[in-house]
Amino acid sequence: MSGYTTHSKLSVIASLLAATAISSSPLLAQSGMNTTSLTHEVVLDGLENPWDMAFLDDGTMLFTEKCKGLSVRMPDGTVTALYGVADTVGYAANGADLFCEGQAGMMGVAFDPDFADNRRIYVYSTSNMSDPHTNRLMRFTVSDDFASVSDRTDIIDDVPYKMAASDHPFGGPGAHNGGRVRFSADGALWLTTGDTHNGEVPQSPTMMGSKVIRIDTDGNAHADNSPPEGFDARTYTYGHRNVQGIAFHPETGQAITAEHGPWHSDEITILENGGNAGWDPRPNVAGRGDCPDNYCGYSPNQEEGMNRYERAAFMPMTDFDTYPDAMPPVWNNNGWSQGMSSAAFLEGDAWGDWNDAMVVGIMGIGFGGTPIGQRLDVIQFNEDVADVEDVTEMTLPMESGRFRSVVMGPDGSLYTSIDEGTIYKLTPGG
Amino acid sequence: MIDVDAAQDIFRKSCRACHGNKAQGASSYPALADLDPAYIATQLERYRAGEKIGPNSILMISHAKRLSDEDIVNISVYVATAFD
Repeated sequence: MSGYTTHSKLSVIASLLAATAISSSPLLAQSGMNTTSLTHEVVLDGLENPWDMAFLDDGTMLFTEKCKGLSVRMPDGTVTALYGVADTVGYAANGADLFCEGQAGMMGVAFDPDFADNRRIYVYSTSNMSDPHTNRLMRFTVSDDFASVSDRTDIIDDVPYKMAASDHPFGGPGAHNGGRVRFSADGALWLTTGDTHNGEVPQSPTMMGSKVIRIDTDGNAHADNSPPEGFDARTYTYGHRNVQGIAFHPETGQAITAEHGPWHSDEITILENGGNAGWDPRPNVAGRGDCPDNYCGYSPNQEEGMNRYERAAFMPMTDFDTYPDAMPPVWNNNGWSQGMSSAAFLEGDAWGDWNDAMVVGIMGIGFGGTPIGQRLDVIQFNEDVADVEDVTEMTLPMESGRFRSVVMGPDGSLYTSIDEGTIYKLTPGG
Repeated sequence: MIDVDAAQDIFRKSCRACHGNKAQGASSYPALADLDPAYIATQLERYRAGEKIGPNSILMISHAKRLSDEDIVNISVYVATAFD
């Protein structure tokens, strides 16, 4: 390449941009067919990879930033940095063992349902305290003035972490940690995990990646978990790829996951206690031969685009041939993989027909001919909550982004964070 | 002079979803807005040639293969200057 002068181009483009400056309106309303009219507000901006949020009834909001740490935003808007990753400055305390790398870092967060009495919160983060390093679910006590956290207790310390790069897309260290932390209405604590680009993890009875974990707040297995014999008793379901979304139906209580697909087939699955999600990317399984670095997750052609259905036939997200009793997904994003990340149920009459529907955040990828697809989708289940009845893309009142997290707020609004650094509040009705 | 419209089109279709709406970086994808345009152009040329540079090379190679020399000039200058 030759024949251009950087500085001259810079001056030209600077003048062009000045004349066509792009501005964003702080508050817009938009309505359309089959779409709830929404308004939006920017709750926080300029964050670094905000990953998750959690709310108290008064609007107090915990939020995590993947490489920085845990903070709290009070109802009056003031923000206090509580627990930093490694030596990140400005936090009331730091976890020297915490670190971020690639997709790993500080991820999910939840308030204890009995927070008013016990002041406990739960945060999932990558840690180098063990070798090989792991992902940990930490429990903290928050001070009465929300200025600090203390009493760190790692109630789970053994979720695998990918230590070294491998020959795969997104192949750097730190891939596929899952990361969502949620309580169900009955008080059980749930954690979703990922396969770490390790073919052995998903179907392993003891490695706690690729699982949906159900425990109590001390990290003990839930008494009603019923995984197959020989499995770690904390296992609710296994055989997942990388679950970053889990939500519970407001009426039935069913646990429902949203999961990234491997160049095809993002999946929404209504979980069955002890169920297998059917992901098994081991080489020399199900008719496949060797695969790069013993992981077939992006095979057979991981460096080029190809028909998603042919790819799915070779390396299915849910392998019914090998595992006939696998949990069937109720939606697979029309066979696309676009980075489906998080899930929450919309609640409140203001949402109209979408009351009790599930919303999922999709981050967008755009590889090999796949439409990028950054959006929020509303998933409406049938009356029996056994299948998907309709899927509608939300008409957004703001620019789309990499929708990492969706959380219902106590005010009836939906809060969503995008990797680009913003937490939005979406309110129906306008 | 670069073609701003062409650069914006490439940015929207090939860059924004991973590197962010202002090329500020997102998730495990690096920030571009603070890089030198010549450096970006060099890296795109290397990706276009099929060279693996980092863990997300497979993604970058697939996008860079579609870029002409002119496209690389346009997008390199654009991402480094449009979001100042």
